[in-house]
Amino acid sequence: MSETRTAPNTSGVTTSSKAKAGKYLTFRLADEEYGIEILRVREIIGLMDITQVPRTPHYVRGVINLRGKVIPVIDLRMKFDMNVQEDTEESCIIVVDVASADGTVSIGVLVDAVSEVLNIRQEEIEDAPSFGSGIDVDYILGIGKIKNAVKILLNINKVLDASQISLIDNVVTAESESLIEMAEVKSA
Amino acid sequence: MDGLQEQIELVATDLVLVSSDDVPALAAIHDKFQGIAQTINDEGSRLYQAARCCANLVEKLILNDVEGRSAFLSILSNSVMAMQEVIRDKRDFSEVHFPEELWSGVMQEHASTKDESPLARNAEESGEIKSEEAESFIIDVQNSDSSLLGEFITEAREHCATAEQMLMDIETGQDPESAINAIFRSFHTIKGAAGFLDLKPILVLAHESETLLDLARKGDISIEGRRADMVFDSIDRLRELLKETENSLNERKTIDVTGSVISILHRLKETIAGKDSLEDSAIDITNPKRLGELLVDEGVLEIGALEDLLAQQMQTDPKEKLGTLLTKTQTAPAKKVAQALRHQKDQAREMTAGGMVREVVKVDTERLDRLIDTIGELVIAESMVGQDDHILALDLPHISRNISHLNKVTRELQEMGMAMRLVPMRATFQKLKRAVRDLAKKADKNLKLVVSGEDTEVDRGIAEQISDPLVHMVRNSVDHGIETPEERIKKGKPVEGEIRISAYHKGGNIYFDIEDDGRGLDKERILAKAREKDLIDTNKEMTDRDIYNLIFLPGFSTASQVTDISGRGVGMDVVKRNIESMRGCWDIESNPGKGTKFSLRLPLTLAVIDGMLVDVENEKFIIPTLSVVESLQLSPDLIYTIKNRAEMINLRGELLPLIRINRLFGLSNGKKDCNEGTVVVVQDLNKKIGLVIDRLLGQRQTVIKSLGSLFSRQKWVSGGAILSNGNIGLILDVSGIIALAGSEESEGYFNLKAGIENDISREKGRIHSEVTS
Repeated sequence: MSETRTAPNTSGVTTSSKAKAGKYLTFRLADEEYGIEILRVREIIGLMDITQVPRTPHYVRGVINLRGKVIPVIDLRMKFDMNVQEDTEESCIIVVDVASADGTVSIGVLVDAVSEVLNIRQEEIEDAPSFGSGIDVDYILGIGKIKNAVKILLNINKVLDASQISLIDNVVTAESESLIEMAEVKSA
Repeated sequence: MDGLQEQIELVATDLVLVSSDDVPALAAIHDKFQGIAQTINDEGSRLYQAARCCANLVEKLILNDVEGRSAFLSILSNSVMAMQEVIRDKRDFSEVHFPEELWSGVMQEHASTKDESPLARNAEESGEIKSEEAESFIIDVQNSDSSLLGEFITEAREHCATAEQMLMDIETGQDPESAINAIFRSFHTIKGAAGFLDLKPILVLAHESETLLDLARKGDISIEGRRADMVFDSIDRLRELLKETENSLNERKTIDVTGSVISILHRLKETIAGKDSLEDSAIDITNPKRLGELLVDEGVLEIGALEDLLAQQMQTDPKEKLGTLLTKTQTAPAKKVAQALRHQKDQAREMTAGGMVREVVKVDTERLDRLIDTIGELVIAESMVGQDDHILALDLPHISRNISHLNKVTRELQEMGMAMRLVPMRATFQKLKRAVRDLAKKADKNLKLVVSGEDTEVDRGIAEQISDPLVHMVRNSVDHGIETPEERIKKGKPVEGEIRISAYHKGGNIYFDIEDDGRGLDKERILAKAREKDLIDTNKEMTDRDIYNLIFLPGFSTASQVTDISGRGVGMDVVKRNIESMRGCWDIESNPGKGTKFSLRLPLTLAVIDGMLVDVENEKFIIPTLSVVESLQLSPDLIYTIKNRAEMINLRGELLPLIRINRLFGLSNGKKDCNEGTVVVVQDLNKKIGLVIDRLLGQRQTVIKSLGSLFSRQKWVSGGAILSNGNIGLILDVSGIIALAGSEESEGYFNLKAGIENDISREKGRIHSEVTS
């Protein structure tokens, strides 16, 4: 599913959006710590039944009913191409507001566990290092160094680029591909 | 010279900031122009003259209620710009272009020494048409408050609707005076707000329309025929401008509407200017005759006496009120006249109030939707508590009583929530009346529209979405259904054609009937056309209904000639698509020579869907009941395969493509297809396919939810439904899935199926020969 990933930014970090000092919600993915600006977070909910939606990128887990509103849920592990792990008791969904073409939309982000809300000062933030073409650091705002721990501060807007997610049209599961093929056979 | 330059720069800045009705600021500018003239202090210099002319212009702006004030400002700024060029850039006066109007404006002022006679004013106005041509109309909302603008747009639209309705009332012969006043007020309010928000195109247009209406208000002209059309056009153009403003607001860009505004302004001004030539006898009865009528009705006045008086009034002074004349000539006692006048006023008040005295609160639709969402959640939470095994196991009378009370309250709340989304059809029908009026004029047909059920309340979404299909269908009736007056006379029908539209509730659905007494649908011609366009299988037996349904196919039109209104073959397929998107269905009845009746049936609300809940690999899906034909148990001997992949089911001799939902949605996890389960046969138009599912769970009414913009390109899923346990079930988009089976939608519905059937027969033949050999 490489077509859903952005092209690696070879020139390193060129984004003008630098991490700002302030409150961050930190969460865990595998053994890494990430942070999202607290102002983007709407709420944190426990894991609930997620309804799969066909023909979506693999990292779109599906949709949930958030008090009468249907919102999509993104599996951040899958989005970052990390090892897939069974959901645990600690797994939870962080609902964030993301800017899109038609105003802000709420999107759920499935993470391993939420950690804490941290106040990060400007001097504790460093620019994301460049790794060359291997790792895409485009959606990293900066790196927070608090005591000895390192928190990766995410530009959640970039991570959940709505225009990318909605490219579902191009993403067809292998099985439905065969169905389409079948339909073509029929009409041939 | 430096002092002079500074003065000019100052005036230039002031001019940029000033609004044309800000008198103190204008006064300051006036002083500055005079100051410039004083500084130059050389009466022979052209620059001095220019400054004086500018000062005069400003004075005119301050003193006179001149038309097209904003045009004056642009003349002024152009003049100042020219002055700047002379002084700052040290250019010769002859090289610099001063606006012509600067000089002519002064000439005009001298010529028309404050003559307030309409003719002089017209001359002035037509002089201004020129000046306005030179300027451009641009919608620029970059610096405006978007929430204020949004409110303005909504409000202005309402005003447009009111004005339109009032205009229709005038046409149907209701009291024109109060209606004209109402229209005038609407335009006036729009004008005021547009001025405040600096929306020049809207301001100017509203202003000119207001001028026209003001003449009507004074009784100088009547709003009839061409003038009524003019006002209709102005309303339309205003709507367009509002739309443009909205676009500009959304996309944050400026939009140039100069062309459209200038053309309508031109026409408006011509209409205003041409008032004398258009005057006819019908005009003067607008205002006075009503009073006369009242007096005649009350027996105070004889008709003959009234007519004499009216003639007298025409001769002496058409502007004098009948009331004054009556008392003057002592034809009627003053007291009676006063009574009648009061009566008239009361009537006018009643008319404008129009029985719509219900108080309303405007609520943001988003907030309303959120409230309804929350109520929906409450219902789910309530049922979860009410059906909880542990609570039920308690078996305590007071708990079950409380729960049933809770249940009752939530249901009530839910109903109220649903009712909040309802709006009466009145506004939509209003639009139709307008459309019929315009269409009938264009097509040169004599017809009337009879509307019933204007107060039928429908879901807001439906009211909005049904409007286009209804207009299309009415258009169709006007153009194809209703015959020309000559034809009608020949057939012995009343000359005036009739189109009836009604809306009513029946059995949890809303029905719309569109009926005309025209020539009816011509079955033979429809069939011939369909064959000609290769849309149908020539040998197939077709019921009347099947044949009528052909008109909903894209590219289908029986009209022998393409008219301005219809006959291009688009339209009815749009109707079909619109109605289907609202999960509605339709029925056509037609009697040759007698007329056609379209009945539309729509669900009460778009928020709830009637669906078949099915289970596939433990995922829940909903198939809209409307498209379900039947369901049957799947068994291996019913299935045929093509090339071992494509599957068909033999349904009583009819072969249908079979689609497995688990495969389609990637739920099978690599399991082999089993030949057990249930097939749900679904239909879209004339195409049927079988969907293989695991289990039918029954029929449910579920709240429908959009999946949001992220999934807007989903073709097989039309939305999500909140199930009774709070989870989401996907609603299958049957037409999307059927289209997949066809793979090439544009091929047309019938060709393809024929193709498939050919394939199958060949395949069957092959199987057969294998078996026999």
